[in-house]
Amino acid sequence: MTTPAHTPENFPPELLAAYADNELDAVTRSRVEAYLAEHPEALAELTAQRAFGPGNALLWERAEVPEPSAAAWNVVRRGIGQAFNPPVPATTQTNRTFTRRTVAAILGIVAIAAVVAFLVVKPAAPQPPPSDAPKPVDVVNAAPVILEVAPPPRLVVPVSQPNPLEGIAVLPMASDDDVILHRVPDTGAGWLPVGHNPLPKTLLFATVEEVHLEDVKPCPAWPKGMPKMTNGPGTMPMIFAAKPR
Amino acid sequence: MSGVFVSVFLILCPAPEDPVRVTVVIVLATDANNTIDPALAELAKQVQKRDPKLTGFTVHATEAKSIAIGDSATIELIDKQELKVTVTRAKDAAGKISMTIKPPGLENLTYGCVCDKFFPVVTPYRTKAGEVLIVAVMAKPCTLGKKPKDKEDAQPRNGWFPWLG
Repeated sequence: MTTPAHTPENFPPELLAAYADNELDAVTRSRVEAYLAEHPEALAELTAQRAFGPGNALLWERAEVPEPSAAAWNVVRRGIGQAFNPPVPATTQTNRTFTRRTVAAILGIVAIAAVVAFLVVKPAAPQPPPSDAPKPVDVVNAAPVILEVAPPPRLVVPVSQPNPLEGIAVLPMASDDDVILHRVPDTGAGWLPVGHNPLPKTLLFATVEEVHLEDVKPCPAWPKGMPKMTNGPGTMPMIFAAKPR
Repeated sequence: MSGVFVSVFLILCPAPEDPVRVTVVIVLATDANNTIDPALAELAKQVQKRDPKLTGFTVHATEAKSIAIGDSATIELIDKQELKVTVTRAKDAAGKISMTIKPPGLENLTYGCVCDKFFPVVTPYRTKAGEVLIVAVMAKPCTLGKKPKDKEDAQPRNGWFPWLG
């Protein structure tokens, strides 16, 4: 089966355009070329196709889309406005107001119904995930994490401290007369290297001849007036006000 | 002329009296033991003549203060108890220094005592452990800081005119 030869009457013009744009396969291309060889008058049309083809970049770069004039734009704008706001007869003003109110009421009812439907059909509140499951992190509301950056290391130069014992070969110790011990607790003997312990080794108490009372304020400890300093001959004078057991 | 007045002033005005060194021994007596501090042997024997049940005597602390004549000092004893001591008079002709003391639980006591001798007071205060608080007070002229003069200074020069000697 052979393909019938093309004639200028039945030759499809799109084949010539495709040939000009180099879009044909080898078989179809050879057929177009055979046609052009038999009909050289078609070369003029081929030249015209090539002049307006995509290969003529210089032509298409200079080509500009024609802009409509300002009057044309106004006409189009008026047409669009009339299409969306058609003129209403004066006799329908009341009906239009009623219609607006009706539409508003309907919209309100629809909104309330939508809210009620949402509350009724609302899905149950999300249950907290099990404790063992990883908790989702609310990235949006989470406070920004500020990472504390350690300050850069500084060079620390040791400062030489003066030696307080410089020039002292032997520590000078205070003598017993240089130290005054004001209060010494009973912590045993031998723990004070220097100083006189205010507690003598033996307490010498005053005798009857060495002490006397000069004035005594009244006190429940001695209801008869003066306290009794001694308790018989040979006793040491003292104030004895211990509570009876 | 002014030198004469100064000399008369120095002669007529007595020198300020030295402070008194007051020593207070804080003693705790108990019937829970029979431990007696050696320094308190005599005191324990005398106290036991009044209360034989007190068998243990220990020194809680000893404090000494220099108090000027007419001044007072407060000595902390135990359990926030205090002893107020006032030196009311310097050593008199009998060698006694007069002091007023205010022990815990008692009113003011004014007494005169010779130097270097303790005067004990058995107070009515008892510690939480039931120990009886005893204070022993002693006073003596303050000799702290007074070192004997050098031999050269101790020997008088030839009168008041050093250029003569």
